[in-house]
Amino acid sequence: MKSTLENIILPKVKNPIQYIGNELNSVHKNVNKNTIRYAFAFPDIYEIGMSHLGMRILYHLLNEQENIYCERVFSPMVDMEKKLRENSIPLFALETMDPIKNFDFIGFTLQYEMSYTNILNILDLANIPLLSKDRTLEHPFVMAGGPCGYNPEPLADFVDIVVLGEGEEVLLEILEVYRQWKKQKTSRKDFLHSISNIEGVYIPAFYDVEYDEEGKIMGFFPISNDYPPKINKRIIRDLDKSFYPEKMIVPYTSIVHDRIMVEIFRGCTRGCRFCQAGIVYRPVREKSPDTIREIANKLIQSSGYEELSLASLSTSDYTHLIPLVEKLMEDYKDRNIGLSLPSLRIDQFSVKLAEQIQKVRKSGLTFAPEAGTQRLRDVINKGVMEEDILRTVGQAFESGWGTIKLYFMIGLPTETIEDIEGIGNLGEKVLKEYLKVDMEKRNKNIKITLSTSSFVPKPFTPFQWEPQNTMEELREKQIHLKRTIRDRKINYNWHDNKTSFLEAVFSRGDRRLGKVLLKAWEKGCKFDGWNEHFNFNKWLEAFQEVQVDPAFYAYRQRKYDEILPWDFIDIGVTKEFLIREHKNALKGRVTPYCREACVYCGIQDLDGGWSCYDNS
Amino acid sequence: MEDGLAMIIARIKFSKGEEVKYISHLDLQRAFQRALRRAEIDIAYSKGFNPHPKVSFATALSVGMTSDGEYVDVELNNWQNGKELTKKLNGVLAKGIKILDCVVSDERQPSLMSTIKMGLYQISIHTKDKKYTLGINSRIKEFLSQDKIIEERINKRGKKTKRDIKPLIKSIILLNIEDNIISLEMQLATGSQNNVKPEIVIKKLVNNEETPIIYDFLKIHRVELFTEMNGKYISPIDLFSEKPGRENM
Ligand code: SF4
Repeated sequence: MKSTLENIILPKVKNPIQYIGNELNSVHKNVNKNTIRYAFAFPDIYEIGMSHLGMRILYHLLNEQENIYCERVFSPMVDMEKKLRENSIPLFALETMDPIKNFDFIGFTLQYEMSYTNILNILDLANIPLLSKDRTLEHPFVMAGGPCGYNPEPLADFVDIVVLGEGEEVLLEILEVYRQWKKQKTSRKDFLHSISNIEGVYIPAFYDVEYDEEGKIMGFFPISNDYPPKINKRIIRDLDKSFYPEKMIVPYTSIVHDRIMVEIFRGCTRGCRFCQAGIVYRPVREKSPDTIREIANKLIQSSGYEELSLASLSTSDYTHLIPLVEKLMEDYKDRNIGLSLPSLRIDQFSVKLAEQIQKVRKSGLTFAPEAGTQRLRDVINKGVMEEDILRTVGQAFESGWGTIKLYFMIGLPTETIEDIEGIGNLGEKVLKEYLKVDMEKRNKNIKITLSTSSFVPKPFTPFQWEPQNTMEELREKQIHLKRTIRDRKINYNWHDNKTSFLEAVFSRGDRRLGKVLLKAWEKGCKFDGWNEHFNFNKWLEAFQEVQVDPAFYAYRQRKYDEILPWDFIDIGVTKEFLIREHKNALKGRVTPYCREACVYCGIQDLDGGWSCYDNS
Repeated sequence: MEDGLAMIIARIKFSKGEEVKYISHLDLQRAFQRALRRAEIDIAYSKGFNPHPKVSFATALSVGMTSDGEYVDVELNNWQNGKELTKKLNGVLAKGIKILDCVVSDERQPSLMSTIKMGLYQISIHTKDKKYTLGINSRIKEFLSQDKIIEERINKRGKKTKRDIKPLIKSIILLNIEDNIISLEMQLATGSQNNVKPEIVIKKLVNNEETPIIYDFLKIHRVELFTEMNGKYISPIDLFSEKPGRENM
């Protein structure tokens, strides 16, 4: 089988190197009967999956452990899938090329809802039963975790174990219990039972849901008193002490984020009301500049990469950013190593910083005002004023930048036509700032891009009760905006509404969506996040055939007292806080961000007490 | 090199094994640059907006082939001993790429790419059935006795073109037949002036209209690249060591 793969299939597929795990710093271990084999599965192709930092961390963390061997698996591209099916070759892990159906665990990372069909496809390609209930002792346990795990319910039929929150500790705890269980291998249920009380572990099969006649959840409860009614997310308390790899795999083929990534903090001090990450990753925990520099040095040394990126939400909020950047620049001055800060706020400080690190080439600046008017920015609690935006871009144009990208959302709660037009107006004001700059001094290649995505209400945000705009409404708004923009120096592009609609269905869906997912996959849906593969009609057919109304999930206004599918998860931030924030949003009232004043979101009571800053 | 200052070049010979045979030339270049950084070898960078390391490869190897005769020139800022360089690089390279030899010189050199003239290849044809191995010797003879061997190609503008590759084939020798596998050795024009790809020659050889050889797959291995000196084929590294620069070390 391996020989067919290596000699006959690989030479004929696109970019075969993506299926071979021999990259520098990939881990190769001897396998014996005590080895716990873990396949870390990313339900998209290699170049996307390998750009994901979480996978990089957990891969090396698991492989540091004796008797655990973690390998990688990605969605094969369409041509490869065809060849695998034709030759009846079950999906294999990159490092050993062994079929993953013989592994102990398959762990999926859930980065976006549109990858769910790829999860089913990976299981099928691996010859593993899709439904959790059909698996036997011969099959691996299927795990899932990651941002979409904060509402795992649409995947309840397929996944055996869900890990909530940060995985570094809980994963090892689960595998430790498994090590014991493996000696006897009694029953699958036995094992699941024995990990069900580990904090952060959710076993969907141990819970039952009842619905009322309208289809709303009436009750959500464990099937026995053995299982916790509420599941707490896990966090790592001290990032300076937590594991961070000193080596990272260096792919041969280029990937989306082809650079060293060093995490500088987790969580976010801002409280944007549409943003799930800003809430679920609380509290903020920073790494010290010394730790960061040490890690960065080791990683650069062991990889040979020419670029280093500092990873976090809202990077500008890192307490020691300036000294850190200065020190890193000093460290790498003579070594042709570039530094990138992917998530900068809209202020002059950020432009100065960008200037410092992009000394020679001004490749372009990206900012996210998110909404076109001050009123709506206040609704979403995006604490940025128009003056800030204009002053910031003005300064950027002065320093020679010509390419500016601005990101917005349309379909936000309370949005009016003025807010839509506001996006276009803001584009024009930005252009005016450019024209103010001395002809000689300014960059000749001016390009302003306004980009809109469609708002998707997410669990655990103050907007979790809100309906999404219909696809028609969104389309009208996009057309209207397009008409508002007249100047050819301003480009406008937007996201596909159909994808956003499905995202809205699945992000706030319940376990009844499992049959839709299965049906859609049976109809051939996969790579739904990819324009060239996405087939919306098949999805609509699937909903119809299993008689699930997608509008119920996407377009319905929920009441505060409705039981939401993810209510059983305790993320530390309370529902009361989210309700308070929702009410503030509707009144256009801004809430200070954590560093200005603590508004007691619930995190202060985390694990018997947590102190975010001195003010909390 | 600017202003006739002495330029220090390390000529490196390396192999590309099974583990990395699917990496593209571009990927290989990048991997090499990263290895040089890991080894902390003080290499020269181009000036300008986007400085890139001064590294130039002899010739691209097609994806899927292995080789024991790959070459690259690396410009150094400081003198380094070839043996040292080899050791440093081999300490940091991933499985599948190995430095076989390295010579450092500060003599002005013609570019590596332009000196390559010929390549020696070993090919094994894994035929579908033992019967296809029969008569291979006479097939080779017949093949080489043709006046012309026409390769049809599609040029950059999408047009079909033809050329005679016969003069580019220096030799084809049968090495052995084992079971269903035919092993050959070929000498082919290789380099920036004249070049023919081994897989093209093999396809021409086996796709004889009446009696084609049906095979599952081919394995192609580049044994060595050669440059020409005084009518003799020699390794690019030997050409290099002829220069007095080496004695200065
Ligand atoms: S407890 Fe206060 S400071 Fe901490 S995350 Fe919540 S609101 Fe912010």
